[in-house]
Amino acid sequence: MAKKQFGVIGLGTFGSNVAKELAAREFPVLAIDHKEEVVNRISSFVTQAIVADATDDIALKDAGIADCDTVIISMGEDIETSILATLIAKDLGVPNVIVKCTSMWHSKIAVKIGADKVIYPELEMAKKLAESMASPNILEQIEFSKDYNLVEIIAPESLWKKTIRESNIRNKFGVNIIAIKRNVPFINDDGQSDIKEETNIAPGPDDEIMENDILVVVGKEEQLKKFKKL
Amino acid sequence: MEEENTQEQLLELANFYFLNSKFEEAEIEFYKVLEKDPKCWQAYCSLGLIYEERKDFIKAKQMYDKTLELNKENKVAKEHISKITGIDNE
Repeated sequence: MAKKQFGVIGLGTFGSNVAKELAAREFPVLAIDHKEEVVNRISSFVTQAIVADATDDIALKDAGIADCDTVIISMGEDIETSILATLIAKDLGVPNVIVKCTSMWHSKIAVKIGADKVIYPELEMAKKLAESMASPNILEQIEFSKDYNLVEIIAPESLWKKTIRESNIRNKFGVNIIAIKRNVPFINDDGQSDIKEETNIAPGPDDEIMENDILVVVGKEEQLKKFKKL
Repeated sequence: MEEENTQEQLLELANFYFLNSKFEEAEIEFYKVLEKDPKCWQAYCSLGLIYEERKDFIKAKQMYDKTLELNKENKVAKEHISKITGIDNE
């Protein structure tokens, strides 16, 4: 199967980082911006970098946007250009168009004109920051489905030196520990002390929870909420 | 009278605690090392690792910065700064 092709229109900080990360994962990336200097800067990282106006449908067609499986439109500040570029990408038949938005209205319009996905990094970051301040022990939270979440949480003190069986958290909270991450000190090849992360996937009932462990826990949101309060 | 430990002995003891995950004891000993030798980059770097382990990333970064001040090519400090800041400092 041919590798997916990506197009990135708008090479600000967000767009250029997306383009570089995709290229680093060995995907073909077509990067477009109207500023020559930003295009030059990214040209050594991506498959093809082109100076073009994102509102010029012929220029985008000639650049080969129609051949991309996914196009990421990242011109957050310039809403008008972002909307026109979205429209053109959809008109050219790009199956998956992702638009970076800077406001609720921007995202609503993008969806109405056919964007397949909108992202709102500022809002997502704000949510994550607020969440991390509200519960500083939560390192990561991923929504599995509407009801189920996966959280990475610093092991609460009440569980230190207890085995998973002794902690009894499945019975008490109805959540499951699916992995334990632990930093282990070692001496590296240069003879210097270092620390590496070791992950115990699917820990057994007799595995012990230690201070500073990170527990990866799955459960229903309500149950996790109770567990987080430990 | 009990003889005072040399800087090497203190560092050895600190490393012993560190490698056995006894980070609190290791922290105390690394600071004793620094009292005797304020330019001991190994102590700063290990203290960085201890703070990182405690998720005190601000203090960890300060310790790694200090390590690089004294030993600017130190790989461990560079790698861990990249890890905690998310910025590649190469």
